Amino acid sequence: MSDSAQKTVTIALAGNPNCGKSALFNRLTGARQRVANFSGVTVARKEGETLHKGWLLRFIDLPGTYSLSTLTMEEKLAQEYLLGNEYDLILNIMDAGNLERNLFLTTQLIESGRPRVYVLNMADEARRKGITINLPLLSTLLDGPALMTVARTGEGVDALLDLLVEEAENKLQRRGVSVRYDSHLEEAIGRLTQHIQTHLGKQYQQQARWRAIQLLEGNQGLPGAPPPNEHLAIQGEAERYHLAAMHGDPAEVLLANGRYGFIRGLLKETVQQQFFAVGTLTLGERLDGILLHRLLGLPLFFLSMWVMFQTTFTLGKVPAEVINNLFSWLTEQAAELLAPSLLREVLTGGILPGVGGVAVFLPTIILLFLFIALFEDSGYMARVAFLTDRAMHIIGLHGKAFIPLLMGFGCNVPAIMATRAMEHPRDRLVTILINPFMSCSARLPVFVLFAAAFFPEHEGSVLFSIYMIGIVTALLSALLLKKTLFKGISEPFVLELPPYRLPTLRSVVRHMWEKAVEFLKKMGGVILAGSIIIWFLQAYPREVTLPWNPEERLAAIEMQLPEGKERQEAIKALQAEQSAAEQEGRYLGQLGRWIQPIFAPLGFDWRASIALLTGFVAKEVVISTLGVLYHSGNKEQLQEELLQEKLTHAMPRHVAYGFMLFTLLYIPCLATIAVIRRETMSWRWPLLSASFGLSLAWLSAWTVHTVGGLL
Amino acid sequence: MAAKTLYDLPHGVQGVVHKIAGENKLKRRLAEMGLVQGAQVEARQTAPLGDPRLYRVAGFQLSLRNEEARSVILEAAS
Repeated sequence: MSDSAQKTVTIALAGNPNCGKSALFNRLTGARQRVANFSGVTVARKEGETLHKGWLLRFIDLPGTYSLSTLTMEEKLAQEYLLGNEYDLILNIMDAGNLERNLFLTTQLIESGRPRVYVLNMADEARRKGITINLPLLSTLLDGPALMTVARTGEGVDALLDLLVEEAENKLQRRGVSVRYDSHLEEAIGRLTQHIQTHLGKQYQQQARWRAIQLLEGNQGLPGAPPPNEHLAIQGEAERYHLAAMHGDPAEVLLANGRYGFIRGLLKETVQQQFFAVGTLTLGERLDGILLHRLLGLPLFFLSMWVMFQTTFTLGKVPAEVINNLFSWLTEQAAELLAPSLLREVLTGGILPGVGGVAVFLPTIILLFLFIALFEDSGYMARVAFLTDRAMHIIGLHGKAFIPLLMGFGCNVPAIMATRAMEHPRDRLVTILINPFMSCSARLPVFVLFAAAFFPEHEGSVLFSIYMIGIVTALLSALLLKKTLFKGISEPFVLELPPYRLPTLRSVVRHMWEKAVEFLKKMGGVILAGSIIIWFLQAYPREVTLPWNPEERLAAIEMQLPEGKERQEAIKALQAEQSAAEQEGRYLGQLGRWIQPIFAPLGFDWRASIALLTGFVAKEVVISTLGVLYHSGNKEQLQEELLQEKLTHAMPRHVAYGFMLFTLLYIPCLATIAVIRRETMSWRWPLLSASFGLSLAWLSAWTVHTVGGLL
Repeated sequence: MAAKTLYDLPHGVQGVVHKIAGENKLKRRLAEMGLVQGAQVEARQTAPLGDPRLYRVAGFQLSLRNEEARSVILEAAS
């Protein structure tokens, strides 16, 4: 085994979406995976490896694509990778029950001439459909070994590993069949191939036919393509023009016609299907009859969403409570066991409450992703896109954006993570950027407090209006973004509805685990740093000179009042006043005073300004800060009723409503900013989101203040 | 008489693709998904809000917006 490191073979996994490619990748590599990114872009690619019979098999999971064109980013990446030389062998995975369309990609892979192995996955579904495939004949016609697997159960996976090693031992022969097109196309391909062979360097010879076809298809700007050669480019365009003029269709459509012609011939020879009696519907078709029903479809969808949120928040409460208690306990222990020191203060005042405040979201996030995984794996997710597409179309997005937006009502962090299922980068960015306007559950406590304090008779309507304003803002922002930053032709909505499939425990657990790890990693980084900074700002400078002497006032109280309840309360009030005055003198308070002019036109005092500032860490913090600053008690024993009363004295009603609007719209919380940064791989979008949110928040609160002042 | 398109197919009825109109990008995308000349298509269902619709083509279920379905022209005989 010592020389096994030298015997490495790199295998690129290519296949359509919904063919079970990821499941097979997981079967082949087990836990030995890592996520890398395609250079310079945000699309993740998974790599994994396994040892088999003395060989190290490296697997690269390419994005699932229907073809190798350059229409979408995924296709482009897959194509670029396959044109390059970073791999030894293509493993082409197909859905055995849906060969016709799956073979389209295969016809393009054939043209690459690279060594290939074919996997007909989901063999069990094909068997149930009564499909029998002549594997030896298929292998011959596609010029590469083929075998059947069921990735869900692991059937055929060992045989596949054996086959891959065998191919590697046999020095990975290049394969040479080709798809034959009609005469006009073949003549054009021939001319371009000859041009490449006579005028270009040796490294372009082997795939000359493929490159000629790329030129005919109009795929430009690919790495490894022939060097800029005016002649070749001009000749390619001329051939495309002639073909289009002669046939009335562009060359890429003619080539697609030819490929499907090849596929139909192939299927006729190799595949037999015992048809079911005419008129009977499959189980999946019957399910679609109910779930996509014109009257029942949407109510059933909303019901499933309701179940998702209900379960998430009721089931999530219990472990969230446990995590909350754990962090309180840790804080207590740290306070007790550690000697008074800076470390103890940072721990008990910054890190533990800060990280703990976010860690309580972990159960919610895991549960939300349990449902998302179930929807995704069962095939319901694509149906949701189908059901909601018309409504989303109004704002220039499509159905796939619906679920992430809905999840935003729970928490924007998993919602933004869920946008990964969207294939078009523009649409995905729009969905990410408008997501913070969907009011997350962390903002709800702020709204509840203010609604109860200022609008005691109309709490429900006020809450509803806030949520609706959030939704309308999101929709209008999407329209605005689509009209400005993300202009361009909207992508055609061509969506496959995959067959219904029973999700496996294995894949659902893996999915949840991945999300949990991601979330924990983020807490370890940004949230930790953020809590320490906020702690520092509200703890320093240590010595604050107050305009009055607290000891004198304490002595005065002790003189005036006899020992007893009254004196106790007076002392308590004094302490609260002192701590608020000290807060005002700390950096955070100074900052609050400093930025207060910005908030003055909105009618907010410096306390409200600081509350909003600390709310950046997590929106719930707004309340605890207000609690401290309006000295209605300390963070641990927040007296909500007292705070409500103090608030009503501190600002008029319309300013309070402005404050709620500001909380709704302003800068996304630290965790959301971090996840936007992660998902977009750039600081540009989180910064845009923050500044856009802040401007909107300011403008709407200002409008409310100004108009409210006139009334 | 206007040509019959995929959008005009009633549920449960089959048609044969004659040609695809529209811009090249759409043509190519639809052709790659199996909507090529001579392909059999069956209209299956309509979404609750009337758009998109679901079709059966090349052995799988494909959802198309009505705007796009109108650019798929069917053979007159079907």
